[in-house]
Amino acid sequence: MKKHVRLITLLLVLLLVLSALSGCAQKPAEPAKPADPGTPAETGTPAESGDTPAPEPSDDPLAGPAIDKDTVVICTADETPSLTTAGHNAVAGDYVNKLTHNGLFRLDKELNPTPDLVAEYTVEKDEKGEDSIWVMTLHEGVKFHDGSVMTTDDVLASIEHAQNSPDIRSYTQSIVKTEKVDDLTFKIYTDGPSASLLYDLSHHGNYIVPARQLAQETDPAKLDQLLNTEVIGAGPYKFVEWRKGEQITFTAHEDYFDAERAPKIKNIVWKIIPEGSSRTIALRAGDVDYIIETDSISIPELEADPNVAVMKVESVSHNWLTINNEVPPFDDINVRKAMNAAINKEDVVTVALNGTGVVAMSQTPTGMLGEYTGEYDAYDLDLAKKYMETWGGDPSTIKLEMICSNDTKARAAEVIMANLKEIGIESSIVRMDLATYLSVTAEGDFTGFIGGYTSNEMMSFLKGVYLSSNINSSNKTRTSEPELDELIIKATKTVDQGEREKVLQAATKFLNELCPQIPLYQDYTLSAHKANLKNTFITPGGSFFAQEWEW
Amino acid sequence: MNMKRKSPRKKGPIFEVARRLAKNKSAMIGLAIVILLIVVAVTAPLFYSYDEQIIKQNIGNRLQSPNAENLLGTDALGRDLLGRIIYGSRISLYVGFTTVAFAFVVGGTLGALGGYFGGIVDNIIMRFMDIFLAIPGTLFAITIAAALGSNIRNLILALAISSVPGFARILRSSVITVREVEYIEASRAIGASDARIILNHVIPNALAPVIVHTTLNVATIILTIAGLSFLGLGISAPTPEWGAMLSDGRTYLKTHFYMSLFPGVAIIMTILSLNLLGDGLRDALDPRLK
Amino acid sequence: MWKYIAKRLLYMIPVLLGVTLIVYIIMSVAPGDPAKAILGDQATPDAIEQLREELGLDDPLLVQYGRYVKGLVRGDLGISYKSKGPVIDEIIARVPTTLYLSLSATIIAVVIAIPLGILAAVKQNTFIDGLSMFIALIGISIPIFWLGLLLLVYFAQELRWFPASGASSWKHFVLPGIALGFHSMASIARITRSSMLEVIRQDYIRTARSKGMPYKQVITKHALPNALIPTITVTGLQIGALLAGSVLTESVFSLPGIGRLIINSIQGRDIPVVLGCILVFTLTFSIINLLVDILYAFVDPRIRAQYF
Repeated sequence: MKKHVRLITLLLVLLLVLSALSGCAQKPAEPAKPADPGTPAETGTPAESGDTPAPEPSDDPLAGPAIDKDTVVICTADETPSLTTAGHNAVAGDYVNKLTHNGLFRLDKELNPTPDLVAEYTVEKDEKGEDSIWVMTLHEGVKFHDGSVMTTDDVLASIEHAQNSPDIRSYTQSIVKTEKVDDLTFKIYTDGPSASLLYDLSHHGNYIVPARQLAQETDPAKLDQLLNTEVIGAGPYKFVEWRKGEQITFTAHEDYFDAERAPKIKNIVWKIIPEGSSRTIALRAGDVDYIIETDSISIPELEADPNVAVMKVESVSHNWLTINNEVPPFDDINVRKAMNAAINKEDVVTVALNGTGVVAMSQTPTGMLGEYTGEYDAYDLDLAKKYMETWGGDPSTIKLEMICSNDTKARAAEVIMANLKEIGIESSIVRMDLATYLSVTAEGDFTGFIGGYTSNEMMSFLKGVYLSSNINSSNKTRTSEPELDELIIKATKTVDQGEREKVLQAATKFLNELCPQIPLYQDYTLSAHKANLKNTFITPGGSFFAQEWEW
Repeated sequence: MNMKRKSPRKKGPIFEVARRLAKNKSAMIGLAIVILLIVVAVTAPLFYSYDEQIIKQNIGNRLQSPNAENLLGTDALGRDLLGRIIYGSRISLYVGFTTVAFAFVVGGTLGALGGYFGGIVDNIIMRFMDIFLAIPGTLFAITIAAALGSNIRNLILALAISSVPGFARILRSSVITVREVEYIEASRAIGASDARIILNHVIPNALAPVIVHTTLNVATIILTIAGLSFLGLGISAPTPEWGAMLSDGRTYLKTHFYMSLFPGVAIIMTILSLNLLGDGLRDALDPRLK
Repeated sequence: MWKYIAKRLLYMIPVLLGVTLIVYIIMSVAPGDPAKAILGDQATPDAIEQLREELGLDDPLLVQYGRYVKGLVRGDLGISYKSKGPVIDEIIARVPTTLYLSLSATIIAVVIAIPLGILAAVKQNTFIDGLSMFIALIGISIPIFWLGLLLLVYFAQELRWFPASGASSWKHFVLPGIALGFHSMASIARITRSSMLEVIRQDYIRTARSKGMPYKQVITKHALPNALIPTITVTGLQIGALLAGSVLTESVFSLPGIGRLIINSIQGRDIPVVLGCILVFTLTFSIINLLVDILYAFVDPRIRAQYF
């Protein structure tokens, strides 16, 4: 039995050494540390990835890493909940909808609405003399995947369907009424002039599906199931198969109506790989061609790989520490401003995003029409203390609970926690899963949380985040300022871009002075793909155009 | 398995058990590590200041590989990993033992009552336990933890609930085996009350399997906590919990492997020692089972 | 015998109903509204109200549960809140992955554990015994997800022997199978060892040896078959642990199985899917337990006598 003792110690040591070795071998991407000289750090250099073995031949064309020029394998973290256009409001679903369907309008690379299915449109005046009647004409001969031709009936039925779908019907609010003129022409009525209609029509919820399908079922649940299994749109790619949890496959739509934007690559395989590091491994091993969302820590490694191209785009996703403005003392502007000045946002970006983002200072995002920077405080501890003095209360009585729903947010909160301690505020972190977080924050049952909002344009951002009628839903700071509401409503009715920009800027200026929440960062959209995949592009909204890609 | 034979030598059965245990080298190693862990956990505040060294960040010093100053390196917030791992033992042991204590009291009471009274009481309790036993324990803990939200209290509750049926079963069968033994019949004959019989005779005789189960169960629970933290359902940051640290390290797996290595080793050492001790105890308490 | 099996199968019904009731209550009283979880950050109150109505979430808890059970009786697992498709489709799509994973884990566990256990027993109290049991102990002590990460780093990332994600060929199940099977391997090896030891000490083994039969033959022909019974039992019982472990393994290896489905569904408050998954797990677990008991009854005449 004596042997046991020595043996076990020996094995434990062995285990430690082995694991440590495997650890040291992992460091190629990191700048060499003086602490570990002589380890075989070069074993995994990027150059190796060029000669990965050819993919094994497979009987099943859908299986395995079918790397050929006719196919591009996209991988993504989240699986879409649904292939329908109106049955979800998920980013993961939006990507897929963009392949299979299209809308009357689409957002171009600068996020401006531009006609898609609509060939031309004019705006007519109503009896009050306001520009509220939109007369639109479809392209002729747009073919759905089932071969039928798109007409006004399909458009009107799709809009009606969207208006009845809880998931996305907020994107139909600008539409008051629709009216058929002939097979290709129709009218959309808005409540006075509307700056948001064209953005709304670009949203996936208003994408066009055949009226025939929509008439097939009256029960909403059954209709949803039908649309989810028989996916028919007029988009550049046709749906082929969905293996739940694993992958979705698409093939090019031969009769795509817009010859200039017709798909160039025949097949798309859409893989779901939730684990960030696994996505990186898959790309470098050649199993996939394109990663939609790369985890920030893999960026240096991927950038060093000559076979991989990395795309970094500053996104319009605005992230912040939200504080409940109804709960004292956070209703006091001095407390909010003190907190804002006390938080070192550079550190937040470093720790939470591993540096892959930019510090946000304004209460609204940059990168879209109406952005405004000014009237805010930078990181300044003395200033923060001054604000606290002006407030006059005892900082140790402030109790801030920061709700976090994922690791990135938790890392940001850890930095904030230490920062706030400098001005005497004690805070704590509460981890919640997404469902609880969404409920609790919408109901206003919190003091603080790390959150964010993503929108392709300023109007819907302002409406969603700060309009007083959205308290108890997306206005989570519970800001209620009549003057601000007025500015936001005015913007949505200002069709002229230059005029609208001024109104939007005024709204942000107002907000920066009010400081309802503490902006932290706008992260980068980080995509990566094989270097020989051409014509890739991502918008600040995170969208990409797979039909433009080619090998 | 649950048969407990009285040691023929009446003088100090505990002494006898300890003697047998001391002869078992691997059990002694396990015991030594467990004691070391407890000592480290208890004395940790003497060496580290929780606020200043364990949770306070030092961004300039982040992601340092092991070096002279930070023997095990630093994490994404520049905190010393060694200190955090040492403090982590406090969390793991605290949650492990509290959970088992809770599960033991609740499960033990239910099992003892069922076993002692039999009949309808037993039937109700055990049918109820069957329901809980039908769900794989870890899965049940995950469901509860996800549903209740993650903090230490809820976590202990979730883990305890999924451990209750195990304890109930063990105590019940122990109690049933000793219930019919002559000396209990005798006590009943001389008019001892039910409560008295349970406390004085039944429980002490059921202790052996319970002690073994407890030791092994603490190990299981520590593993489960780590798993829950790994899924993001565990204890909230910045509390240094091994599973959470491991999960943090996952992001840096390729570049800073040590971040997930050391917490993993800490978990293995703990579970290993508890298992060694548990096995040793089982052999010592019931030599026939060797 | 058949009566016994029928009785056990019948008894499963109340147990399964109890399981669904408990999980239903936990999921329903948990904070987090399914409608809000589906509609996300940008949802408006009237959209939330409409969706709650569509999903029947405004009814009293017991009414909702009653509706669920009514569907269950007809073999209908309900409609997923999130995908809006039948729960059964969601589950069937993911069963193969979890099945392959459990299978590969069991195979790997048994293939390593039985030789290890026999070796340890035959060479009792030697270096080999110590080594075998130490490996087994490591298996019990190592967190599944940590082992998974190690394997991932080493064999998928560094050596590129196996893919890091996906589930389309046998290769995808090797690393997850090892990660998941290692734990069961430990238990199986230990029980094999102790049951071997017990059998070796029996009279008929001594008789066989004294008759001059080669030791190897004694072990394989006489001792092993008898020692394997407890091994099989433990292997069966390990399936429960495998099912729970699949949650973590599937998460580490990005496998599209039931384990990942249940985690996603719990977090999205997709109650029908959670219940469906729990039912699948519980049913599998119960049936395997039944099979183990039947096997035991076949082998052990004392138990058999009670039922035949």
